[in-house]
Amino acid sequence: MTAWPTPNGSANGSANGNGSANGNGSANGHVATTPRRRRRKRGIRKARPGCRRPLMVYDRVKVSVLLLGVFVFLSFLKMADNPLVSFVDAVRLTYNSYGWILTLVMLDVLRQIHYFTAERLPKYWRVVGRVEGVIKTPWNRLSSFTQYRLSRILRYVLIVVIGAFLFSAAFDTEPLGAWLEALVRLWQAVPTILQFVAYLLLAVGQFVVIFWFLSKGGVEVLMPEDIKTSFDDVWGQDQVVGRVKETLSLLEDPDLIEAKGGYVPGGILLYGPPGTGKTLIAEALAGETGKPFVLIEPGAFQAMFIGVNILKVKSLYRRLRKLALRYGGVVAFFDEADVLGRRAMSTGGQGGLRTGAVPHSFGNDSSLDSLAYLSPVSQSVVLGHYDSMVGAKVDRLVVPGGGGGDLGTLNAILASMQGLKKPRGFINRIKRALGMKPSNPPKYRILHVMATNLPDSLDEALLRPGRIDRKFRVGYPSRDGRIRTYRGYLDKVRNTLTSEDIERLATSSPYSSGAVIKDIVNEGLMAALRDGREVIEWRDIVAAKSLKEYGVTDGFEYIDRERHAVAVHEACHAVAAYRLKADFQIDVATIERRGDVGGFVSRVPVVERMFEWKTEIENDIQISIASLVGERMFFDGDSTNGVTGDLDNATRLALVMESRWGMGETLASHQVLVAGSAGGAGRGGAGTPEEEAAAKVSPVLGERVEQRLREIYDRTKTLLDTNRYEILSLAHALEWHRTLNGADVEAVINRARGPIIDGTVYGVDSVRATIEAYHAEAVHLHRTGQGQPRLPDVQAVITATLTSTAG
Amino acid sequence: MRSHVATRQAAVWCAAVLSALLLGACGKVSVDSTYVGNADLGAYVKAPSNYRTEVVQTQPEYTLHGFWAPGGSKSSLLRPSAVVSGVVIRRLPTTEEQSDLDYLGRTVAFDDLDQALEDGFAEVTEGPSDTRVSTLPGEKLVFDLETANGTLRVVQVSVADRVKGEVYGVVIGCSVVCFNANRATIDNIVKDFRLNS
Repeated sequence: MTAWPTPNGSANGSANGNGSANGNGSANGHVATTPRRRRRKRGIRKARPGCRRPLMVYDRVKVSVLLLGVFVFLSFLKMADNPLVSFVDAVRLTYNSYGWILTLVMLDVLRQIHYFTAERLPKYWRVVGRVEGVIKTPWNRLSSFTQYRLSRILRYVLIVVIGAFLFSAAFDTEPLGAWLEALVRLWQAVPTILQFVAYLLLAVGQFVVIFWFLSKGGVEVLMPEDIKTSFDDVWGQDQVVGRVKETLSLLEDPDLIEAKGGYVPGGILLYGPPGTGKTLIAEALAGETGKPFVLIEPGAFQAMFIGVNILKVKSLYRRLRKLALRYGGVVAFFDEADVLGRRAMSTGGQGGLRTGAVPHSFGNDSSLDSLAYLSPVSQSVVLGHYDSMVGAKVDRLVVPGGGGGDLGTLNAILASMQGLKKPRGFINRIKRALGMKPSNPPKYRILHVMATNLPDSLDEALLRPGRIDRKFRVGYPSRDGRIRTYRGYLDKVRNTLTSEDIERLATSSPYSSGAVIKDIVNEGLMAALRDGREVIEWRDIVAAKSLKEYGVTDGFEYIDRERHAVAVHEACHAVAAYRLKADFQIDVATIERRGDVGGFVSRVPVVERMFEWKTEIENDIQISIASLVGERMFFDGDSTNGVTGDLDNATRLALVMESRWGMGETLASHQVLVAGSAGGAGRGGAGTPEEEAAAKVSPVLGERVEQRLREIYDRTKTLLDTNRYEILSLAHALEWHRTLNGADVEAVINRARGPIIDGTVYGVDSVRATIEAYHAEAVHLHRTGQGQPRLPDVQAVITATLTSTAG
Repeated sequence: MRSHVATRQAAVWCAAVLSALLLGACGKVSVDSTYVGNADLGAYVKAPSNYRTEVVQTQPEYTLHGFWAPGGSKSSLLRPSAVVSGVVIRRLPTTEEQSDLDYLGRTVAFDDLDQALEDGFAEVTEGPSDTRVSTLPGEKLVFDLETANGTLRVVQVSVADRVKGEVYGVVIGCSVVCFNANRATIDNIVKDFRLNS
């Protein structure tokens, strides 16, 4: 039973008769590489040349210790059987009855003497080793598996024999009947054992029941006929829907891809902004698939007690595997997957971009404008990415995953999604216990569908191919998608909107998701009902869109002088935007106050583009500083602090142009220079290395930015000079109507008829004179600080003019 | 290093000596006493080492372990011979009469002892006297019993366990001459009478 080293020192076989793999066999691998001290510490010694490899102390003594232990045990049995028996007499009696045990001990001692000698005397080992080799040869000829089986059988036989002798001694019976006697006694003890087990089960069972209940919930199984939603109900996401359909078809008919050597994707990630239809796509998937659809709620794995969430994951996957086997596949949908799959997320920067609401970037700065007049690229610079672009330090906070998505849950999900393909089930356990080969695990076809609006917070391991093979961005619908979506929702209500209206509406809602569009239509219906109508009109939709995108106005009333200044301010933005950016259209211009925002002009892109040119960025800067230029131009060089935000925006854009985008006089990236210098900075100075490096690198950057802003300022002044009356007329329209939609703004500027406002009136000379006079009065009163100008009614002016002409 | 070698050499020698001792120790070893009774019986006595012992009867209501001096046998227990023999008994009441544990204790070995005393075939020579065995109260008496083969002199110690409803006893006897000659040995055996409780 022992794998002997041959006389020349090498070991054969891995089975070790001296007990285990940590005997000679495993020691071989360590001897060559492990330092001597560590070998000694572990009791492993190197063999002397030509000698047997030394045994570990444990291997030397274990058999003798076992036999002596049995002997002592039997002696104590004697004492227990008769309290009058002294220990010495007990030993004597045991010896008289079981002397063969000590004979075995003696034989083992002889064996150890033999080993001991063989470990030290090469000559002895050379002779004896050969004999042992001959004895061991038949054993070594057996395969490792057979050796293992035989060893195990011998071990069992040994246990049976020893047990028989022990029981015979304990029960005072013959060894052959000892096991039977033991079984009889066990049977007699069954009531006691059952009583004990009952108590144990009662104690443990209550916890099991509690945890069982806690591990339920949050998971709902929907069968194909339960959901009526289909892919036809998903509008504006044709690309994603097509891919999802494709994946679903592979799940329905795996041979399509598996017969050709591929595999069915195991997971789909649908990510994108909120309300874009991720859940709707999943719902449609549930309606279209012929497999069970398991909906896992975001809070499904939140648990009060540690470990319950892991039980829940295990319970979920046990259920998924059953369904997958029964129906040939199953779809598991994890809504808001970032809750489940969040190992750690980074927070920082600013969110909320392109959500459609009035941007909240102004904070405590008293300002008139929002960012809405800027292009998306400029907005991203101003709002979020500017700091990292110019090298300013942004502290990022790494927090552990929130919700129920702790590490244990995530790891359990990861292991369950694509863990070890191990045989499962009770039968396989029995087979393994009996030494039989368990059945091969079946193929569980589980399609994981995850939806999230925070894809960056998902763990990389979760997203790797094999778990989530396909990742689809469910973005904002394209213009055609938005038209389709508007039509879809408007078809459900009575309305008077034409196709042109809907197309214009879709154009002016570039970042509207399906949910937003649905909400706008519903809000329009409420506006119509509020007005006593059941039919939605254009103005209802415009009002609803304005309400949803920009919020409710404060109802604040400016004094007349300030109202005129705000109107001129916004009119300058609007006219500059209209004249400079052909790819954009004005969505709305307003002087109605909303919180800290005194008024704003909002533009939307007519076409969707990815990049912007230098001239276009400069146009954005012009639109930004048009407010300052206009205030100075129309108020004799005076200006308000309402331009704070505008100047911030313009400065940031100019800074990025100069320092990073190669749109200035130099080519070098300021961010790279700062990063490169930061390594040698910060020794003995104040501030962080990045700040000190930035101070060294950018002494002239500010001058260049200022110079560029001045150049653009002059250009803007020229632009506004040439559009002086357009600004004043638009300011008048704003003062009169407070809020104008884009079409009406264009109508005023072009002196044309708009959907709501007739801009042609501003082409009448008398009206022009009146508006100029009104502005002159406002400027005069502004200078004197007394009195309020009276806003002229242009229709009255026209009527008066027509009357006098007729007269 | 040298100490290691010395230790190993000493270990080799110790093992060799131990082996020699073990080899030389093959065979039976003598025991100080012969122990009668076991856990199943619940009663024990210690006899001289040259005595033999054997389980005579293992019925639940009447368990009997016998012992005897050299020359005796299992079949000659409590005979009026020249060989001391005795029994350790545990009895349960099986008749209404025996439910009186005092009565059962008196007749623990000989059911007809009272009748023999009445008829004059038996005579109490010592006792009865109170004694205690393993905290339980008991009774000790010596009596002569006339048999067909002669007079048997017996010492009997019986104990009633009223909690368990059982009676334990040790009874040792032989001919009067033998009894008197071995009185010290017999008293020693009786003195070591123990119960499980």
